[in-house]
Amino acid sequence: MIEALQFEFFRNALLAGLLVSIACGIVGTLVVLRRVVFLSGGIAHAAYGGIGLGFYLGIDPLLGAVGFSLAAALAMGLVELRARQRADTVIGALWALGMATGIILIDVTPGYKPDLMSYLFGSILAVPSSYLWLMLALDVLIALFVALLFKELVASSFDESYALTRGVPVEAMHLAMVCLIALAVVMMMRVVGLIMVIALLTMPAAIAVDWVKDVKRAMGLAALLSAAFVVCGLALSYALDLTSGATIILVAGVGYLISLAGLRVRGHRGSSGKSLSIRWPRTNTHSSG
Amino acid sequence: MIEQIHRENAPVQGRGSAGGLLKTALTLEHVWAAYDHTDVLEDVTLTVTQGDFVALIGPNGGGKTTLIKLLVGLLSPLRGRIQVLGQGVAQARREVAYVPQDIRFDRDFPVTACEVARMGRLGRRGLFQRFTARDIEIVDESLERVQVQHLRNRPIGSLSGGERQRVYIARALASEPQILLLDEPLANVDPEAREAIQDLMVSLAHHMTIIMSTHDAGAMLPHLDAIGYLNRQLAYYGSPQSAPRAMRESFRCPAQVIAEQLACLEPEHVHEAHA
Repeated sequence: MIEALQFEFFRNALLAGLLVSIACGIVGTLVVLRRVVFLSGGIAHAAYGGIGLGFYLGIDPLLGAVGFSLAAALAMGLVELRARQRADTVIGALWALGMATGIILIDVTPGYKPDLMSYLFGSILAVPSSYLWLMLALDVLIALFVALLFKELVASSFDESYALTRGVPVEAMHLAMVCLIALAVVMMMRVVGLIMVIALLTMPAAIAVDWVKDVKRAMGLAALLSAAFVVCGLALSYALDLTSGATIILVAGVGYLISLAGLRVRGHRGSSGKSLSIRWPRTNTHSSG
Repeated sequence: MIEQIHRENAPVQGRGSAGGLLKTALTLEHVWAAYDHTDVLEDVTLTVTQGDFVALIGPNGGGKTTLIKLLVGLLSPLRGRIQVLGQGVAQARREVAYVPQDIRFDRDFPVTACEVARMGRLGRRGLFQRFTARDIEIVDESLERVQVQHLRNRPIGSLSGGERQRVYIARALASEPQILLLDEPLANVDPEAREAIQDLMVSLAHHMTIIMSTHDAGAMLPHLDAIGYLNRQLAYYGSPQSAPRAMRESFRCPAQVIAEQLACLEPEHVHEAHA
């Protein structure tokens, strides 16, 4: 892997992975805590419609993906707010409709058919430098937004009804949240592909939330874990000549399984200590092993 | 006049104090409420005096929780008018604190007891504003007041039902409310904790208007200023002492028993008798 660093494309891949991990840690933690994993999956897949739209209109597919996934996210977010009973059904429909739109738009686009597989399964080794700046900008945007509205985001994730009684605009929070997910999805699209975005968005955060009982620390840990998975996955894919996106996801999956096993072990130890309070002494600093 | 009281942020009048006008904490006028087209509250009219300690009793599905949700603005009435401290529910929100029923709760959510209590300050700080030292101080005082200061750094999911309920009360107190609403504060709480929470509410009742829904008003009966019996309609509202004999004898009984005993009472009739 060291010799691979002499290639610009590989350095860019590593940098892209690290930049994506920041968004992944912040947004992923909120996704896991608010239990909007399904909605995030829907946004990720619907974003393919934006790729198709980009090609059809002859603009940068990335721009198409940003616009389309923001629109899809707002539509799904509104459905969740307005039609709570059947929200999952409607989100499932929008999920597939977005993808279908993308495929049809590419069908009707005359001329050269680009390599669309790279959007679906990722092409981290083909990230141009300009893309890195965009990723950095999105990271800053996401971090700033979450920092400024942190207390409202946490309160409305913990207990939406109570937050509403305190005057927190919980519906606006929800819509802002889905927009953040859309931005994170577009960033991650290049790294692991739209189909696997949901795994990298949720697994590091799920591990972090299991081990760290503090939202900010969980975000940090999730970002570190995500970076570790991306770097390990890249190294493995280089050494074994495997598809990078899929390798990254498999590494994350192994990490998640190890974490679950670790939780079980800790759980057994904890149960011998009779009460939960023994498992959680006064400090709230529990880092993963 | 009531609006004036609010603007001046007048101290809450002592309970049952003689002399001076009794100020109104909240009024409901012919309020109807429904979930999914099923009426839960029918034509409820009620006035609660400031400083009163009120228990709402009645069977499950009788509308106790619905009434509390109306008062904190989580639900809008179908018909009728609600005024809190002389204002609409949304305008009075800052002065009303709410302790929700301890259900639908994510045990793994990574927040500490102290962070939960701080959520009570949200109404006092706008978006993009950080909590101030004063906010933190008020939260600490609230935790102290309900005696959970030692649990402040524990994850909320690791607390017992009674400890968690006290943290929720601390969160409500951190809002510095004039009116405190509690939805089944004694459910999911073990017997010792129940006693502690009852004592806590009795002592808080000296400083603010308290309305709680409960299945078991028995132990607090001597401290209550009023009791309301809700079974879709407000069958009775008044002092516990002057409640109909059938109701009085069954305060300690399961709500179903009360429901059966009250089934024969005409709501209007009871209302008149104690108006």
